Amino acid sequence: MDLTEEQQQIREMVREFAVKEVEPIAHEIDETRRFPKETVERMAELGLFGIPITEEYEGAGGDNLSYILAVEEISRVCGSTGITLASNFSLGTYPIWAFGTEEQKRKYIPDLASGRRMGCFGLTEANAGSDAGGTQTTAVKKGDRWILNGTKMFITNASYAYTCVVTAVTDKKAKKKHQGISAFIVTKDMKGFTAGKKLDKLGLRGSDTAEIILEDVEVPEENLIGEINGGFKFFMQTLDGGRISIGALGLGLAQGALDKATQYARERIQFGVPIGRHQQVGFKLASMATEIEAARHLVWHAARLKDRGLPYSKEAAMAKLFASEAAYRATKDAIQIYGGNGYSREYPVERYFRDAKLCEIGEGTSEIQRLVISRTLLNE
Amino acid sequence: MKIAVLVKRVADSETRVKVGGDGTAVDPAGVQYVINPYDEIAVEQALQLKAGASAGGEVIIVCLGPKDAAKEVRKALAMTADSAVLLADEMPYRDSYGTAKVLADELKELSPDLIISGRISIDSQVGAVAPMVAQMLEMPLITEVSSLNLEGETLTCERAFEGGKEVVEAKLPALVTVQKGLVEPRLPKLPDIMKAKKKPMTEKPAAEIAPKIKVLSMELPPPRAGGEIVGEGAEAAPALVKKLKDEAGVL
Repeated sequence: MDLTEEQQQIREMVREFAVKEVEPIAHEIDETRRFPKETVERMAELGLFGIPITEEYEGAGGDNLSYILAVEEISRVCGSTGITLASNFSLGTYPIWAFGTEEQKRKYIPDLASGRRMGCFGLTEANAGSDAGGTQTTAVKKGDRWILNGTKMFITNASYAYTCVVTAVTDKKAKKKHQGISAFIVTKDMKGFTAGKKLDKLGLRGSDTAEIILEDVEVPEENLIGEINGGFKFFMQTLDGGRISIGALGLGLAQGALDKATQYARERIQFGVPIGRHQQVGFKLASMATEIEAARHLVWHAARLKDRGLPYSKEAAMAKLFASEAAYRATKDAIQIYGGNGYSREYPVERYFRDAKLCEIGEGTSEIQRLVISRTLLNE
Repeated sequence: MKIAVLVKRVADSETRVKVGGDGTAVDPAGVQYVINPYDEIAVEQALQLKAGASAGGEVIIVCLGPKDAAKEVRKALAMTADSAVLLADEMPYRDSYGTAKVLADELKELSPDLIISGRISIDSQVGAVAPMVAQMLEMPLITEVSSLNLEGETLTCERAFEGGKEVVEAKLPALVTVQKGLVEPRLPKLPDIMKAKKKPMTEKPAAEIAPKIKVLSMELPPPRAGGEIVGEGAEAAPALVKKLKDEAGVL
């Protein structure tokens, strides 16, 4: 699938980085639940955090597809590092970049794009998951400040982020609940802001997921993103982009599982031949590869639409849905090909399987993706 | 200071190569290409010399290869080399002499103070081009360099080899070939990848020079035979020794 020479260069550089520096510690960070700060520093140095940000704001001036390729290549060896990158850009950086005022961009984007500081996005709450309208965090205007109270959960990179874009109810009397939500830039140094308990997860254990607690946090008026009560549209658009990156995460994991399973099927001998020659195994590999290729077409297509400034909401949902489910099937089948070894933690495929499950849940479950797609079809 | 680096495009060592239809060359289908890993070390060394030179300097990439090698040349530029010359080759086969001749002619024009190249290319593994270039340019040649120091016009190199090492000195201009362990090649940074496309890369046709040798055949090594388990524990030792002696002939 034709990439420009630059996109190829970026893909190859990230692949080399992933194989040399990310893969060797992937097992360890999963096993010990360690957030690899050294990898984050290296990604910053290589310019991975600001790929589609212009040079003026200390980004690389690349396109969105290049960023998606980077997420795919990193996830191919380590899902935890993949989601750290994806979340930092798509959720932590993009909303300020796309919807922030010039002043907000000047203030926050250079640190985020260069990787000097990390960012996160606080949308999910105990009662606001798929139904973001259930948001209970509040923002009350007091003079020229907003006072925020509430608790956000499942926030990727929360413990390490300096900026956090949070959603809060600004109009409790709004006719439709989602019409009374706004978004704000909150920073770690604001009084009353705490990153709370870290989540112990099934997979992506080398990534950071924590709560964010807001207790009477005073946020200056100028930290409101976009229009007041316009938060819903804003985070739906943020999630559209984020979905492409979760598609890339799934795609990378699926490809990584296929790489491993193919290698194993070449080497493992049973009944006198490499197991890949047994049709049951060979056909599994063929199906995995075909689904991965299809997923790649969808993910890259959505990324290219975004690059061209065309609508991509439906395509992003389709890409995420298909790539996530393909990743689940591919990683599951990789374990089957490895047999008993696949079930063992001595081999990497069980990690891919646990990591891949997130893709069907994070940034909108597969059910929500189907909802988004069907609503577009029915023109609702 | 002007440093020229000789860069060759080779099949990635991860690629599972096959011999092509006529039996004398690698089948290009499905092959991934990279910068010859030793040449990548040469690029890095040149960049470090430039960074360390008080008077600054210039690193020029010189590559003889197919037009498609532009991608590998761009990578060297993304590593932050300053400019490049791609000598586009249309000959199906070019021997070491023909390669060295074209490179030497180009280098004569560029007249660099120092030329660096990898010790060997990992594909054809002849290792003759750099020595021939040095000969053609009548320059001092230091091969297999494992450590390099430049003071003014004087180049001091260590050559580590099995069983010892040698320290060699030469005056610029000179040509050195480098080995693993000298320096660790950097990964290009993303903003530098973006800037590489704006850097000057001159592409010109490489002169055709009739090869002085001809490849008759090429074959892959025979597949490795499977292992054999002789037995278990100490009681298997005598049988194992017997096999190592009689069948493998290694004892």
